[in-house]
Amino acid sequence: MSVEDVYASKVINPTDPSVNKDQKKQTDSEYWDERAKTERAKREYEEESAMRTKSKDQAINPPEPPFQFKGSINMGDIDMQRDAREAKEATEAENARRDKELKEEREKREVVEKEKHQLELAGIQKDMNQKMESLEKTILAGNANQKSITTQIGEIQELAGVLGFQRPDPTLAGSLDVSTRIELIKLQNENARAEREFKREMRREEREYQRLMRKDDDDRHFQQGEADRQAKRDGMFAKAPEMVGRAIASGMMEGGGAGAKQKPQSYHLEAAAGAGGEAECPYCGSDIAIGPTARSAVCPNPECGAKLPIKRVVEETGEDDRRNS
Amino acid sequence: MTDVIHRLSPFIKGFGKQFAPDILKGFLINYLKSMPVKVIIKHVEANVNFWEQLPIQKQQQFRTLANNLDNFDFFTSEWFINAIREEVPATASLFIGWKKGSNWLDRQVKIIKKELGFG
Repeated sequence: MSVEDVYASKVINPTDPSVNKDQKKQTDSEYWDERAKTERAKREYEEESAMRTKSKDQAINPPEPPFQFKGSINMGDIDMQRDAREAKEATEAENARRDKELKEEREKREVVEKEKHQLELAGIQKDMNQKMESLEKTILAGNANQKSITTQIGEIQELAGVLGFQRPDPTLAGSLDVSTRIELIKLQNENARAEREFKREMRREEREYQRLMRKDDDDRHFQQGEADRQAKRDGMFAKAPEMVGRAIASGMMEGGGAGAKQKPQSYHLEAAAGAGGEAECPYCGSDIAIGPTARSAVCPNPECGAKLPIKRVVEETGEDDRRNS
Repeated sequence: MTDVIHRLSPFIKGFGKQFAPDILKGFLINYLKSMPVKVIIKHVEANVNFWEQLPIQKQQQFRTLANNLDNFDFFTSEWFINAIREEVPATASLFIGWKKGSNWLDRQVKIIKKELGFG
């Protein structure tokens, strides 16, 4: 393998003078073609350079669109702790303001009540003063016309002395001292009052007793009236079936019953032999019928119930029955 | 009349058991008021069967009335006399004071109860 001499210069593109010689023989058309090609390339280069520059500018500053909407929304900063702190501070401030107002209101009310109380006291005091004055006037007016108690006692003692009475000696047995007499008078008064109270109580109880008696009478009368009314109602109900029965019987009679009523004949208990008929009870006037062979007749009235013998008589006239009067 | 009885049947079934004696009492009073004592005396003397004297229609009405009752035990001679004592005293006294009339009434009561199915 050959070793390359790195220190010797190496000809990479050896120049061939024949080549240059050929080039010199280049025609005009070829020249101009070469120039045109060069110019074209230059122009294209410049255009490309311009386009690159433009594209760079557009990338940096893009062209504005014909219509553009611009705006922004700022949501702000959300800080929960700060909000809570501010709310607490606001609440405390509100409470403080309210407490202050209440305190002021209370103070005002206290002042008003105090003034009212003072006015009432003043009114009462004025009223009392007026009453005191009137009372004093009344007392003074009464005292002016009335003697004092000592004067009256003195006059009574004087009058008693004139009449022959003497003051009992307290040292004597049987005489009563003042305190004992006062106690005795008290006891007498107590006794009289108790007696009056007892009489009053008796009168009150008597009135209560009379009132209760009247109430009992009223209740009894009311209950009696209720019972009577109830009995009347019951009687009406009890009569209903009987009325139904009568209606049924009436319908039967209208449909062809036993015929028209006959006027009953009145017969006395003295009847012809073998004759029957009707009579009147001599005691109660109830209708009585006697059979042809009956020996006695009984009044159907349950309150009468008289049993009447029948006397048979022989009639020559041929009448069955004969009036007895 | 039959219509009336039929219309009253529900009422009688409901209340008739209690008021049956009163219903029959009203019927008898109204019936006997129209019957003179002399007619009754003739019936008694001839021992006429009262039930047979009634027309068939009336007998049927009686049966209709009785069919609504459970028993007919209250219907006796004493009850009959007491029932008519106030309203038809003459007839009542006839059965009280005349032995023959009382016997006839007893027979008629038995016959009627038998005809109505309670004998």
